[in-house]
Amino acid sequence: MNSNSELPGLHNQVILINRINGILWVKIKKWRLKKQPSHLRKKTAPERRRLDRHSSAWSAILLLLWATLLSGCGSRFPELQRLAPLPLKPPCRVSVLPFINKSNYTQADLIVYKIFMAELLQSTHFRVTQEGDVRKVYRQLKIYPQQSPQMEQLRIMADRLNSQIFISGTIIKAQEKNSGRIPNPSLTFTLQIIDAASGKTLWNTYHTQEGIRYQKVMHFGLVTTISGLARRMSHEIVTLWFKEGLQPCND
Amino acid sequence: MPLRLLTLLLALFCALAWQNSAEATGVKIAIFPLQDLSHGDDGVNWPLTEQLHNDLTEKGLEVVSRQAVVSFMVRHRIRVLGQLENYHIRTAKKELGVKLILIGSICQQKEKPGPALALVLYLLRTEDGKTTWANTADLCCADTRRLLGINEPKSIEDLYPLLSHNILSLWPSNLSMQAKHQRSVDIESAWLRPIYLRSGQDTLCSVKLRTTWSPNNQPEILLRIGEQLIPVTESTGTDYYEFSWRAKGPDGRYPVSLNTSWPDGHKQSLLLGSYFIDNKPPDLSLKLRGLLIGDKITFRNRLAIIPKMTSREPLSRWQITFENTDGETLLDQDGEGIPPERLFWQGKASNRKPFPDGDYLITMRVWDRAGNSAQAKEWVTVLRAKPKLSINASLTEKELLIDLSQTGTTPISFWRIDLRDKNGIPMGTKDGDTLPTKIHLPLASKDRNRQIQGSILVQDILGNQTRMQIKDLLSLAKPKEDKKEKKQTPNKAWVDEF
Repeated sequence: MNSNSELPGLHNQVILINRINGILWVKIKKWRLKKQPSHLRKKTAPERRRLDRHSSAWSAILLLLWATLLSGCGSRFPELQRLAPLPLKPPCRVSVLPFINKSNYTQADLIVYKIFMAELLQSTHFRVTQEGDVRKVYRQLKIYPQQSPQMEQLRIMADRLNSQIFISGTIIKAQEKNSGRIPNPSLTFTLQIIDAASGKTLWNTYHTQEGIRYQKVMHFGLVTTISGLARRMSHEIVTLWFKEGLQPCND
Repeated sequence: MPLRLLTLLLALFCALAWQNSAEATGVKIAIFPLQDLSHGDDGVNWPLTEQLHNDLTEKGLEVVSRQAVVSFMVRHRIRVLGQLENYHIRTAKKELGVKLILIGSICQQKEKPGPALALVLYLLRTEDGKTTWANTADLCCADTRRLLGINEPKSIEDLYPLLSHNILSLWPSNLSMQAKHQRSVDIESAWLRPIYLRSGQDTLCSVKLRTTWSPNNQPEILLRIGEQLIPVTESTGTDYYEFSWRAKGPDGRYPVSLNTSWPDGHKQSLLLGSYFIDNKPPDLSLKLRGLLIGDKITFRNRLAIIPKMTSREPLSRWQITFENTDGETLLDQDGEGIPPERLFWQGKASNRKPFPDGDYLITMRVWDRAGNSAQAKEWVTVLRAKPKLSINASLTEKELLIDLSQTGTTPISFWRIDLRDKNGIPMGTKDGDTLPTKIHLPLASKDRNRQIQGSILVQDILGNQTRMQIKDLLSLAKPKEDKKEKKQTPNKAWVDEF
């Protein structure tokens, strides 16, 4: 798709906006008009200088606009909802509960679970319970796949897994589609931080993203798989949590 | 200038990476088969496992053979790949003599639209079962474009070495093998039965432990029930620690935990579960949606029965019965969990045969999870009898007076009378909603000998209807003696056409 537009109110600058293959290109073209309008020719030198200053101001505004347009193609950020304050003592042991898959993408829960766990472990701030141990307690308490544990079950799990916080997740949407000829996966999921002792949800994080939104120039940065997208989104969420006040373990 | 700086940084990074990999040499590691999620939960990928095996061997690590790992998995019945229990990690240290374990999953593997692969790896320390390193890598053919397409990967198999190289380039620089030794009890199974009970009922706790101890380091196993500490011993012939007791106390939650106490004074407590004493029966009432006639709920063909509970409580089962006045149960139904929000009864038995008119007792019983039961009863009347009518007519000089009344007790909803002459031509319609009533029908003198037909419809408030057809309304107004006389005196005249 190509579309050129000329911004009004400029006498010697034209902004060209082209959209080629989904990428927005902005070009500011500047030239001196051969035959200036009569109302400009009559201006005195100080007035012309003032006009030039105006022109510079316009250039700055346009640059800002350009930057805004570019940032519009960038990534969307995860949304954090604080439902209750985090424990005063920074948690050291964290258990990631099996995710629930509400999307049509088979095994999206397993894929995102494993990748999120790896991202959380990379932060090296916590001791994360082995997935095998979490699933063993699920079997012992007869919590079936795609089922959330009840309050009493959470209490038992907290004790047996020796965890201070639980992280649970739900995959809302996972899709592998194409944007033109470019693969463009999309993923939407929520993650909850649960206080293991009380079973209360402390933080809820919602994140939705498309692979094409990580594209920088040409194919650079483009995310073509659900796994790649899950990795970047998980990293963004973990980063956000630490930025918003999740304290690393002191032990 | 920036190009030179970039080259310098790259060289520095390569040198550091080489140094880091060198630091990890000599460490014994076991690589468990990679889980392949693209082939379902039980999928396994041997080619990439072999690739990692070779690459780590090249890095200088001592990698345990594939046969030894598979044998270990068979011995310990490890069926699911990509994850390990802490118990298995620690056992691998003893049996395989490894300090590290590498597990992982292939999250994605697809050929179309272009070959793409994603891998997640976890490096586990066997000393304490901690994950010391984890990383994810994804690769597709579009990421590996080369000049003129020379040596460009074209299939999934071509991506294996590249992906292995990519992810192992992030191998941790300095792996600490030092770990704090933690003694812990590993529970294989634990249950409490029943969980919900009344005071005075017996409950049983059963625990199976996976952990074994040497005789000189045998911990004391205790069961903490509320504030009580009870020593328990392993049942002979089984690996279970079992204890049964009589639950007593006020309503509430009672946690049960397993306490272990080692000879050196180290103690550990693990919550096994909780049991709940509940002595309060559910609070149940029944609401019937029918018509109140007199002091009884009455219906003809459909009655809504609404069970109401003032305090919401999970229920284990429910039952509803229908009895006649003799106490005989004619119909019953039951179910698990909470009863439906409303039940509809059509006044019929299970064989679809309608119940005869009369009074019936509806009883609903519910049981909560502890077995406390509650019941609610309501009487209901089935009434399908049609309204009974009494019609009298009298003739005055100017009008025909029809006196319509009912003999039953059920209030009527409406009545209607359609009048026609003998040719079917409408003469008028009268209606109303109360009985008894008097209908005045003006009559001209010439109409006195005409035949007036009447069609009467009466419906009571339950929907029962009565329809009557009167061929000659005027005949009702004639004295009865005449009729009798007419009957008694047969026509003796000869009939022309016999």
